[in-house]
Amino acid sequence: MLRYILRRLGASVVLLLVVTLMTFVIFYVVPRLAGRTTEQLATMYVGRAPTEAAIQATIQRLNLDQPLVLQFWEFVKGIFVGAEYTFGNDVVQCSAPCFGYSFQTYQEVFPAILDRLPVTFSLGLGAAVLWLLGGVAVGVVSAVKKGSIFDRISMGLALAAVSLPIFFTGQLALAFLVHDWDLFPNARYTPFTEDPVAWASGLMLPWLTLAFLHAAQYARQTRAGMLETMGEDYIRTARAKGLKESRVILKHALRPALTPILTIFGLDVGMVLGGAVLTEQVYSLNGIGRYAVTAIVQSDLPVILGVTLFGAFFIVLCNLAVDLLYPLVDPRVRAAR
Amino acid sequence: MTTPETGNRNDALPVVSVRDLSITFPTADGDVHAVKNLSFEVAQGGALGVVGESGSGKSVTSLALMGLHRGTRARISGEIRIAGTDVVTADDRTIRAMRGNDIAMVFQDPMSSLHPQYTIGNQLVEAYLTHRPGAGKAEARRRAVEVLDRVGIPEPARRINSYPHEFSGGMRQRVLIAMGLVCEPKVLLADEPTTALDVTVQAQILDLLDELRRDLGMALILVSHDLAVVAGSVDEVLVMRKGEAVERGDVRRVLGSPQHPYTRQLLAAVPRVEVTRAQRRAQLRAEREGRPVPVAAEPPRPAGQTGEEPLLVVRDVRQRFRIRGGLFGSSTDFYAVDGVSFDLYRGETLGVVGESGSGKSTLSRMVMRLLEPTEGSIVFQGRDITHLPERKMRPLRRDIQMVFQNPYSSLNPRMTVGESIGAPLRIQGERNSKLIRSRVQELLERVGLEPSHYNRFPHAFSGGQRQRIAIARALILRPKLVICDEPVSALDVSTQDQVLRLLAELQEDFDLTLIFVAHDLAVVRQISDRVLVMCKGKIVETGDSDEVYENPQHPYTRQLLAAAPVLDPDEARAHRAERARLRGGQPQAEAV
Repeated sequence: MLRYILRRLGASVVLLLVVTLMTFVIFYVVPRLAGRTTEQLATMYVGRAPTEAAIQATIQRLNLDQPLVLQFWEFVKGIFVGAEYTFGNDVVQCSAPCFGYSFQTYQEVFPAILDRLPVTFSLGLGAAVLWLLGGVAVGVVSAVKKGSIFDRISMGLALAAVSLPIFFTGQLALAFLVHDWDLFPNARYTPFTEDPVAWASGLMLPWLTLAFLHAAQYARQTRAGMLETMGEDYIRTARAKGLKESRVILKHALRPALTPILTIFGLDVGMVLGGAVLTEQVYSLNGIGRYAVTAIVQSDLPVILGVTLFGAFFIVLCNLAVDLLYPLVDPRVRAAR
Repeated sequence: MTTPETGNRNDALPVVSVRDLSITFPTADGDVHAVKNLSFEVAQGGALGVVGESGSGKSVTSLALMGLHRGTRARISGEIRIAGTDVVTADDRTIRAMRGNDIAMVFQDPMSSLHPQYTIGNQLVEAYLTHRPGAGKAEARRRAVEVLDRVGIPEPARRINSYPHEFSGGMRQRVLIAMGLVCEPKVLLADEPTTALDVTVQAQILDLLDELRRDLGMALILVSHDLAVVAGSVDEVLVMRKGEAVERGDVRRVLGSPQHPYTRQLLAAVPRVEVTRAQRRAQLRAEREGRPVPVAAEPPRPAGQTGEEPLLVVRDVRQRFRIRGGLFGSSTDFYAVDGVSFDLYRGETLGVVGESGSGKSTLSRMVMRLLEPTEGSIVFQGRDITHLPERKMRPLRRDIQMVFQNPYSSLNPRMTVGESIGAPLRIQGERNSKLIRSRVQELLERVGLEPSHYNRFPHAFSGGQRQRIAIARALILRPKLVICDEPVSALDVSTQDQVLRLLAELQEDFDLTLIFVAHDLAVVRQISDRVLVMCKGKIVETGDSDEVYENPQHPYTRQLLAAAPVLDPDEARAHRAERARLRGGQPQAEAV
């Protein structure tokens, strides 16, 4: 088992390096392939005042005149040991992990991401708990009462929910739940450490919106999985033992149905932690997703690069967690290793 | 019920009593009457065998006895009483109190009937605590270890923490039986408990059920498609057909002098280990002569080893599998087939017998070159194909075809049967769709199906029909050698018989050479000229089939023969005693 964990950890590190390389290639190499010269590239990255001197300075800073391999090496080195940048006569220390600094705000990328992390974490984890519990509960009831009014309505809603984008459901929620009916306060982030109640109530609306979208998918998956396991021979065995139906469903049928759910849950949580772009944008929450949107609009490439790597990091991390949890959920996987 | 030996039990109140039971399933095409006016009784400590082919209503009846029809669309009328509980009218709570406590059920497929994600201990303890809510966890665990020990699980106190996938099929069936015993039920209902198991394991499970019934005074209801399976274990037999009881009576009477033609038909279908290949051939020939068969009679089969060159020469083949595992990922070698040699002559049928894990399927896959042998050589028609690359192998595939065990999973459910059968022709380069179609239809007719079945999908066919389709697919290229890997083990006895007859006919008409792999000795004897007995990857005995059966040399062959079910109840009991003696005398013949 230890060997397996180590092997998986090693693979994760390699995977992240590959992601870094690909992101790097997309932002630094592809424009060159399209025929951009070094000066043109530097002009893109230079910000609002593309004077000749500024362009030359940018080329220097980003090593744009160096071979690509060296550029990549400098970039990766920055992540592990930090880097130094010269602005005219000033030398700025960017300590490890250094993802560079924003061309627009001249802020270092990594601390900026760290600042926004609590918002995205609060939003993502809160919503994840809601959608997992809500989706699975609806899916179980739908499967058990297959064909009932509840099943039809909830599956209809679920279909609608997966099809509707967040900027639509989010606006609806704002219009009705906040303005017309006054059920929730408008979305606002208060750190948990300052005021837990304000934290929860301020995030309730974005949680619900984000959870609604995902819960729909989980409800459908759980329902399908439950319908499949309810037909298995071991369910018949459980009934033949004289177990109550509730125990047959919750102990014997639900666990196998949840196994595949665990896989998609890991992916989804990883995605959301990398930035819930639409939700943060709709509710003006200052998280990583919003940071990324701003950066994209402003062609702020180091920020885009940093956010992409961060997102990838969470997805890899959550997948690793799922893979390590899997043998606990399904003992047969243990045997296969 | 009224047998002389069980006469004293007649006074006791029957523990199971079924009266005028009818079970109906409403469908879009009208009602399907799965069971019609069925009545029977089982006395305390008595044993009833319920026999019939699939679709006879025997499984529906077993489920109804457990009250497991509830929650399905089945409509039920009549009366079922189990140890005082009226199963038809009682409320759910009463039924739950009865299940597992008064009547316990053992299901057909031990591989899928245990929950894969809980330890067997967890599942046994749960069964006990459900009916003994006052008992503590420790007591339930003690009881679980006790019953595991009772059913012959070695080291039960340690094995109780194992998961089902860590047990073999036979061991899982023992665990399921243990789970049934945990609350000391009055009735044990076993629905095809050995159908998924090897002959030797089947014998062990049947012996165990018989022993438990006698020691614990339980009533036993044994449901099977095979009369030979129930013969040695029950007092009374109920033969079902299309939902109705066609015959019911003392086991000796029903098997000795059957009254109903259907019972006689079932009896005739049971493959008998004592019938030789020659007798069987003569019988089939005689039957065929009665029918008009458009194919000219084949010349008598060449005797084989008369200086003629063999079609297939297998020399010392081995197949190694690496098993990873161990703390540092070290791997150990495991030889699934370990030094097997044989010759096969044109027109001959070679039977390969062995239990699961004996390497017989691996061997057939190597001959088929689906696997590349690790060592040794395979020469087909004078050409060494041992390490032939796939590209060069492809034209040869025309001559070697295979029929697989499971007709349910070996046909692509999304292809019509016509496409499936025609696919080999297409793969071999035939482009004329009309020609393919006509040849497929011709062959469909030849294997006993309708040409109009061309456009149907596999799900519309029964198991036996699907196996006919699989045979047609194997024959479309007019191969020289056909490997049949357990072709009938998933089928009912009567269907089995039909498919075996078909194979025998086709062998003559198409001049086929067959390798017939099976765990059922009787089936192999009826179809083979020569037999290989395999055990743990090696050949332990080989020879002319009559010789091997009448004068087995190796103890393993003798053990296999003693395990084969027989129709005569008294002989069956004698075999059981013989097995008990073999087990007692040979500690290495461990329970599987």
